[in-house]
Amino acid sequence: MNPYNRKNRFWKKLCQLFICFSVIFLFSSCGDSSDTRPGQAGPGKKAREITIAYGLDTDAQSIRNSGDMLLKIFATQRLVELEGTRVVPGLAESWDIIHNGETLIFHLRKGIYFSDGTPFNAEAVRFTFERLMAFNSSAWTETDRIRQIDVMDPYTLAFHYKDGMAGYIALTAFAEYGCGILSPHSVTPPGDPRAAIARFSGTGPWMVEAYQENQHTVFVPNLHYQGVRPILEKIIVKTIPKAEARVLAIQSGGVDVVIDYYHGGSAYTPRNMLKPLKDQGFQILKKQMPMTTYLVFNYKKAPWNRIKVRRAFNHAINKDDIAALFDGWINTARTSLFADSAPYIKDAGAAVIPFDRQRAVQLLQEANFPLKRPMELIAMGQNPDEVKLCEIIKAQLIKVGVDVQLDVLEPGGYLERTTKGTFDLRIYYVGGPERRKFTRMDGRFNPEASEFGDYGFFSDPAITPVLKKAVNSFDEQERKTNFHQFYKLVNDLAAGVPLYFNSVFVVCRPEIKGIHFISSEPRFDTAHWENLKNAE
Amino acid sequence: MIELIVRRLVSLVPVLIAASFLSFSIMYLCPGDPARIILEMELQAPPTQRQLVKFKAQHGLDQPFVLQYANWLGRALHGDLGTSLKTGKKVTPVLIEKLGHTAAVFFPGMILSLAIALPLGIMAAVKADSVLDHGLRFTTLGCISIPGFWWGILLIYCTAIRLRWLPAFGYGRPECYILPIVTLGITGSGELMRLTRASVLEVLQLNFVRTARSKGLGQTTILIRHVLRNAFVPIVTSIGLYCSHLVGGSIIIETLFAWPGIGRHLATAAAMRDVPVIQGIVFISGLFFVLLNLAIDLAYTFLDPRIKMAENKG
Amino acid sequence: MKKFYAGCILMAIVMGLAVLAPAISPADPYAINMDEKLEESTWQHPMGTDQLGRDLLTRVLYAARTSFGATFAVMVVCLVLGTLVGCVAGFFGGWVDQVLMRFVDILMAFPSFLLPIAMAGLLGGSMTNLILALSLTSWTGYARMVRGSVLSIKQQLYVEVAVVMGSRRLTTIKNHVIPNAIHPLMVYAAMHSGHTLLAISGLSFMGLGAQPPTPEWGAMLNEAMTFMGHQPNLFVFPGAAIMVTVLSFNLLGEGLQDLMDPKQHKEVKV
Repeated sequence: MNPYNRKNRFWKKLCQLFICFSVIFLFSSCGDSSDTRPGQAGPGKKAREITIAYGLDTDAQSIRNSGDMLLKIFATQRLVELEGTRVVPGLAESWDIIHNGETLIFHLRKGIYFSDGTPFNAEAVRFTFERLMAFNSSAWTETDRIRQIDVMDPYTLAFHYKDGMAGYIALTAFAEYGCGILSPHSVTPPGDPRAAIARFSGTGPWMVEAYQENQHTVFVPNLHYQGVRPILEKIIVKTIPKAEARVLAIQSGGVDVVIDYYHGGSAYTPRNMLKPLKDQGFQILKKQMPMTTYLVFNYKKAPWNRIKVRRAFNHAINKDDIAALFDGWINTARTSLFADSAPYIKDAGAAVIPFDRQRAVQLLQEANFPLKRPMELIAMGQNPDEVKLCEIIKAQLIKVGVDVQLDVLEPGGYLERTTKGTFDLRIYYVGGPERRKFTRMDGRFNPEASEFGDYGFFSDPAITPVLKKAVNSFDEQERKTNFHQFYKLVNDLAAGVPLYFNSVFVVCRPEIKGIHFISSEPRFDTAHWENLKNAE
Repeated sequence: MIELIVRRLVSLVPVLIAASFLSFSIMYLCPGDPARIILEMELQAPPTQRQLVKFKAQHGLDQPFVLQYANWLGRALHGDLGTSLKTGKKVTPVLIEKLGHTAAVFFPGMILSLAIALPLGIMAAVKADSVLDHGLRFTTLGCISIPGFWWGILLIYCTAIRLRWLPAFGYGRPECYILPIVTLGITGSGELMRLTRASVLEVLQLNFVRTARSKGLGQTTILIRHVLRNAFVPIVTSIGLYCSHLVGGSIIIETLFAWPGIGRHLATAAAMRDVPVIQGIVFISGLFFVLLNLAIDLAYTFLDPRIKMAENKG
Repeated sequence: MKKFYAGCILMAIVMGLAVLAPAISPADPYAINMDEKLEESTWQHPMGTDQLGRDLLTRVLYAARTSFGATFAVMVVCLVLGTLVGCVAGFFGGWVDQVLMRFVDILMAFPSFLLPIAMAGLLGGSMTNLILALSLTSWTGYARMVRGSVLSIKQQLYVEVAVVMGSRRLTTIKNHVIPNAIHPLMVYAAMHSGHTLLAISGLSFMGLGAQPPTPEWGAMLNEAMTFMGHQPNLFVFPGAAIMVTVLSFNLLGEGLQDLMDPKQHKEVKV
C-alpha cells in the first residue's frame, strides 16, 4: 500500500478519536440539573402508598435480634416513652418504684391487641424481654441490668435489678427502641424466647405484610391499633445500603422518600446532597437531635492523655468549613456541647473552646507535641460525609503543623482498629436520639456500662461518679445539678472536639404531606399524597 | 477418549485440593480475630470472654487449623459450606440464590455481547482492510479500553437521570434488569468482536476457501457453509471461558447497580469479615473455573479433528 | 506500524502529563476551598471543582501519577517473580517444574478479580495492599511465557552444545533465553498493564485501593456517584482519562505485536 493511503488512514483515525471525545464532552455539557426536577409521579404509583428508601434491612424475620429501629417504631409500642427528661406512660399506664429502683412494677393497659389478634398482657412483655436477654442484646436495651422478671397477674409485672444496677436510667431504658413489645406468636413455637421471628407482630400503627431480606418490607395499617388509623394504605420500605444509591433512587423516581437510620450516626443521606436535592425541587424535612458528632481522641494513649494537647486540638478546628461542607444544613457546635434537646443543657452554661489557630500552635509547642510520626485518623468508609469531614479536618490540622494520615476503613477493619486502640483520632457521635438521652450518655462516658466497651468516648475518674449520679438519681433536681456539672467537666477536660449537632433528615417528593416528627423520629401515620385524587 | 477425560480429571484433583486449601486459609489472612469482630459488630459492644468462647465453639473456630480444614472440606464436598457468621444462615442456599441473580444478568448479557460482536466481527473480516474495517477495529480497541463500570455510569446517567426511562438501581421489576444486562453486553462485546474478526479472517485465507471461490461459489454460500462453521470453534471456546467468570467476574458491575448477585455478596462478606461466606465463594468459583476450563479443553480437542478434516477436503 | 507509533505517541503524552503534573497543574490537588465547590468549567478551573472545592484538572493529572506508579509497580513485581519462577521451572524441569506449574494452575484457578478483592477486603484498603494483591495473582502469565521460552530454547542444539562446552546456566539465560523471550514478554507486559490499570481503577472504585485524599481515577469515579445528576464533570473526565491511558497501553501492545508477527490477525490473550 502506498504511503499516501497510510497517511490518510492515520488522519482518519485521529478524526475518529476526536469525534469520540466530542461526543463525550457533548454529554457532559448537556444543560444543567434543572432538567432533573421530580416531575410527575412515577409509573404505577398509587395515591395511597409510598415507597421509602432506607439504608438497612428491617430484619423482620430476625434469627437473633428483634428487628431494626424502623421496624420497631412502625410496628411496636413501648411500656413508657421519654418526653424531654420525663418518663410518660406508653403501654404501661403507671408504675411503682420500690426500694429506690431495685424493683420496678408496671401496671399495663388493658384491652390492647397485637396485630395478629392476640391480647397484649404481662406474658407478652415477659416474652419480649426474655428474648432480648437470651440473645444478649444488651447494647440497646440495658437489659443486662435486669436480674429477674416476675409476672404478678395478667396486667402487672415486676422487674428486679441486680445490685448496683438500679436507677432512673433503668426506667428510661424501657423507652429504648429495642424494648418494643412483641407478640409471643411472632415466633414459632409461640412464646419460645430463643426461636426465630416468623411473623413479626406488635401493637404499633403499622404491621408487616411482606418481607424479603435485604430487599424490601411492606407495611400496611394495623387493624388492631388503638390510635388513629394511618391515611396511607401501604408503605414499601426498600433497603438500599449505599447512600449515593438512595439519592439516585429518589432522583430517578424509584422511591418517593429517603429517610435516615432512626438511630442516627450512620446510613444517612449525605448532608452535602441536601442542597442539590432541594434545588431539584424535593422537600427536605429536618429535625435536630441531641447528638453531637465529635472528633475523638485515643485518650488512653499519649499524647492524648494530656489536657493541653486536647485543648490545643479544640482550638485548631475551624467549624465554619464544616458548616460549608454541609451547605449550612447542619448546625455546628460553636456555642454549646449539645443541641438544646440534650438533658438539662439549656441553663448549663457549658461553653465551647473557640477556634484560635495561634493559640493552638502555642499550646502544642508548650506541650512539646511529638511531630515525628503522623497522627492516624480513621474514618468509616460507609459514611461518605465522614470521609469528607476527615479530609477537611486533616487539611486544618496540617495548618497547625500536625501531620495526619487518613485511613478509610470498612466496618470490620474499623472495629478492629478501635478495639485494639491502633488509632489516634476518629469521628464518633455522643448523645443519641431522644429515646437514648440517658442511656447514650452513660454508654459513652461510663466505663462500667456495657455499651462503653473498651473505649467508649472518653472516661475520667472525675466524670464517672458525677455521671452516675446524674443518670441514676430518681430526684429531678439532683439529676439536673449533676448533669450541669457533667457538662462543665466534659468541656474543661476537653474530652473531644465537638463538631456539629446531628439532625435527622427526610427527603421526599413535593406532593407528599403530613410526615411529622415525634422527637427526632419521622412518622408516617398522617402522611398522604396531595393533589393526586385520580392517580392510579 | 474416556481415558483422556479420566486422566485429566485425576490430574485436577491435587489442583482442586490445593485451591480449596487456599480458599480456606484466606481466613488467616485477615489481621485480628474474625470471631471477635463479627460478634462485636452484632452486639454493638465488645463481647465478653464467655460470649466469645461460646461463639467459637458454636462455629468450630476453637479447633486446630488442620482439623478445621478437614472438617470444612468434608462438609463442603457434601454441599454444606458452613454457616454465615453474620446472619446465622447456611451459606450454600444463599450462594445458590445469589448465583441465580447473577446468572439472570450474566447470560442475557453474554447473548447481547454475541449479538453485537458476531455480526460486526464477520463484517469486519469479510471487508478486511477497508475503511469500515479500520473504523470498527479502532472503535473496538477504544471500547475495550473503557472500564465496564464507566459504561455503567454513563448508561445510568443517560437513561436514569437525564431521560428518566429506567430505574438506576434495585432488583425486582423487569426494568431493573435492562441496565446491568446492557452494561455487561457492551463490556463483553469488544474482545469477542476482535476474536470473531481474527478467526473468520484466518479461515477466509485458507486454501479451501480459495478453491471454493475458484469453483464459482457465491460469497454468501462460502461464508455460511464453510467459513463460519470452522471459525466458530475458537469463538465457542471463548464463550466457555467467558462463562467461567460467572462467579465473581461481575463484582464491580453488581456493586455499581446494587445487584444482589454473588460478586457483591463476596464484597460485602469481605468487608464484614464473614469468613465462611468468603471461603465458600472462593471455593465455588475455583471449582467452577477449573471444571469449566477442563470442559472447554476437552470440547476443543473434540472439535479439532473437524478442522483437520475440512482442511483435507479442500 | 501505525498502531505502534500511535501507541507510543499517546503513551508519551500521558506519561509526560503525569510526570509534569506538578509543573502544569493550575492548583494544589489537596487544597480544600469550600467556597468554590462543585463548580462548572471555568478558565480558572478548566474541568470544574469537586465537592471540597479542589480543582478537578489537577486531581486528574495527579491521579495519573498514582495510577502509573501502581501499574508499573505491579508490572515490575510480576515480571521479576514470573521470570524467576519460569526460568527455574524451565531449566530444572522434572518435579520442580511439575510443582511450580501446579502452583501456577492453582492460582489461575480463580477468576482474575476474585482473589484481589478477597485479599484487599480482608487486609484493608490501601494502595500497597492493592499492588500486593494484584501482583500476587497475576504473575502467572509471565511465568508461563518465560517457561515456554526456556523450554523452546532448551530444545535447540546450540544451547546443548554451549552447556556441554561448560558455560553456566546464568550466562545461557542472559545470552539466549532473554532475547528469545523479550518480544512476547514486552507485548504481554503492555497488554497486562492495560488490564492492571483497569483492575486498579475498578478496585479503587470499590474503595479498596487509594485512600482519600489521594487522587485516583477509580476513587474519583466513586465520589462522583453522589453528584451524578448534579455535576457530571466529576465522572466524565476521570473516566475519559482511564480510557485514554488504557488505550495507549493497548495500542502499544498491539503495535509491538504487529511489529513482531507479520500475520495481522493473531490477538494476544491475557
